[in-house]
Amino acid sequence: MEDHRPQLPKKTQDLFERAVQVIPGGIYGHNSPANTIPGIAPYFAKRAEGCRYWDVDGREYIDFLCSYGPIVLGHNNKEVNAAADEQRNAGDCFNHPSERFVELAEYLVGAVDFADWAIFGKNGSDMVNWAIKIAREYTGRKKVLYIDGAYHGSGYWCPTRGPSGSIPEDNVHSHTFLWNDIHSVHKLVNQHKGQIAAIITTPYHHPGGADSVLPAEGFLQEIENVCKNKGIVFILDDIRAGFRLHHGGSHQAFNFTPDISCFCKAIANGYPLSAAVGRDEFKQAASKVFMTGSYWFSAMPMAAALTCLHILKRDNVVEHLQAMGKRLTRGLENAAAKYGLRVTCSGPSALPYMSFAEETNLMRMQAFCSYCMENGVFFHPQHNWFINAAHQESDIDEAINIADNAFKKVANKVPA
Amino acid sequence: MDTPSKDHILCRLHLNAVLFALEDLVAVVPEAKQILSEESFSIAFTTCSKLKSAVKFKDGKCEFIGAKDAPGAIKILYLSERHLNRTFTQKGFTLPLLTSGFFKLKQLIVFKRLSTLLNKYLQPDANSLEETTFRSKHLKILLGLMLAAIKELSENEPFSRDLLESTPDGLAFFTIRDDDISGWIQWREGKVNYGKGDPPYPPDVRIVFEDSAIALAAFHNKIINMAEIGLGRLRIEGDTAFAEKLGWISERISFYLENGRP
Repeated sequence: MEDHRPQLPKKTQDLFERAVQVIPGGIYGHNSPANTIPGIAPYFAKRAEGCRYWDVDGREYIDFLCSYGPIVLGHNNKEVNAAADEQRNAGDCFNHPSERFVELAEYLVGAVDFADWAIFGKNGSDMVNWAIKIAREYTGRKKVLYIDGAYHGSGYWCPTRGPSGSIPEDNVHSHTFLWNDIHSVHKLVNQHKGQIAAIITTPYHHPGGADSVLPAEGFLQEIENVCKNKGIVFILDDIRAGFRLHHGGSHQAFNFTPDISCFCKAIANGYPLSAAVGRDEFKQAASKVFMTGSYWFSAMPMAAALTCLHILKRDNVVEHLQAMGKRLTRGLENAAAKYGLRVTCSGPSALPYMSFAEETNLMRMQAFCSYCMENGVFFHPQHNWFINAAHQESDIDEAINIADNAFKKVANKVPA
Repeated sequence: MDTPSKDHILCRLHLNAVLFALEDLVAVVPEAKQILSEESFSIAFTTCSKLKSAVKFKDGKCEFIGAKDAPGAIKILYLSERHLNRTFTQKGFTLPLLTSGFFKLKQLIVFKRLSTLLNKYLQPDANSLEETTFRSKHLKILLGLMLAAIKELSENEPFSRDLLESTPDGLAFFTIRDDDISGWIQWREGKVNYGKGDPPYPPDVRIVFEDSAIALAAFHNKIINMAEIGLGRLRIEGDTAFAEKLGWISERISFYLENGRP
């Protein structure tokens, strides 16, 4: 770490100073610079194309965050934009849903093997919260079990970051179990016999600021069994990984079947849309739970989603993401090793999480990402990265070359 | 851990953080040294609920003894934790009981004068804070108090304890760049340690205030952290999650000491 205050480029500085006058924190939520490398990271984006974007000061980056996931085909995808434009010209926000609403539900019911119905919202939290309500309506029970350290959005039922604005009563019916520890699931199920409405998991564990962990053999299948046997609704939060690991949802990549799956990030290549699908058994409960929003029926994002999902399948994007991710992670591991550093790339290669082995405080990771950002590669220091369909071998190799220099600098300057 | 009363936590903060601040007061404020002069004595505060803490004055210095025995000390007993709190915050009308040291009136007066001076440095008026030297001393005393208070809350308040128990071991190092002020706090194997100056081990997170003005605002909960971090006036490097948790705990100090939530 440099022992001086980093100087923001002029436009960024001016814009952020204006922002703090009129917006709490300047930029809030996951986009806050405080969550990346303040002073080094870009704060405001200007434009984007394919796998690259430019900030307001004209700095160019190869994008390995992809807007925290939504950009799956690449920024500014012409086909998706054309579909969205066509719908926008016809109308977007009506008194009623459009034909796209039904078409998209039909598509999802056809694509996801267990799905009999689909519902739509704007963000991942919308769908997860809706799914929890459906489970409570269906079972008449209150409690929800979720993975310790998991992020399921900003719903009241799920403690998020920090105590601000929360009261203990918000999540008295939420309990955590340990990832890959089926005994901790059984223990809670026995402890709260007949009271558990839902068990919610992600398809693999992707906690913030820590390595991702794939499911142990049989872990998710056993949760599925527990849910079946105890009348508990099994909800899959596939917001982050959905359609990046398998065209029909991540459960198919890991060979288990939930009752309800929630999708968002990769569904419409950046157009605001989320979806949940479920089995017939829960259709009536889903119809009773009132969840809606002013823009939840907007037609344009649905048109974008239809095209995005079509391209994902047509171009076998899942395979491309995996191949590019592997090229990146292997390249990084090899580059680090040249300087005596060991890095771990965890999680699926389409959404890799890199960390320095045995590092617990992120000092090296932050130094590494700082150097990469200063040289045109956006790697997030404590969030998994995303590959998109526009990343080509040359982009990956360019990023690895820059990372190589970053490793050299880290090895020389940051003590282990 | 049972939920302790607000009075209990506040009492612990008075005994183990506010009293601790006397060390820094005597070290950095010449007027405190003058008041202390050549006097040598110890003073111990006890409540009927068995909470206790002591400070020792000798050779122009103050040493915080904490709950350890202080032989020959002037002993002051409070009938309840609330009684102690009301006395420390100068809201009480019931005098505490002097149980030992009846004839050390002069030393009691010295202590009273030091307490008044400490209060001036802990709760200064706006004009005093404009003055650079005063502000620097205020910050030094306040940083020490905050570190001691974080330890106290982490060990005795369920919210703070739970927060740290879900956190890997770590060491945070605080510095104010334009001033010679620094301190550290370490969470290791379920215990909190803290100290002034450089840390004994390389830190896991560095919390750097670019100048005393931003530190002052931060210590008084008058900044929006995300904005200051974005502007580079507050830098947090390393284990940001640990720093964030320390921040949530430190916010509770003022809630207790300034009579707000929780």
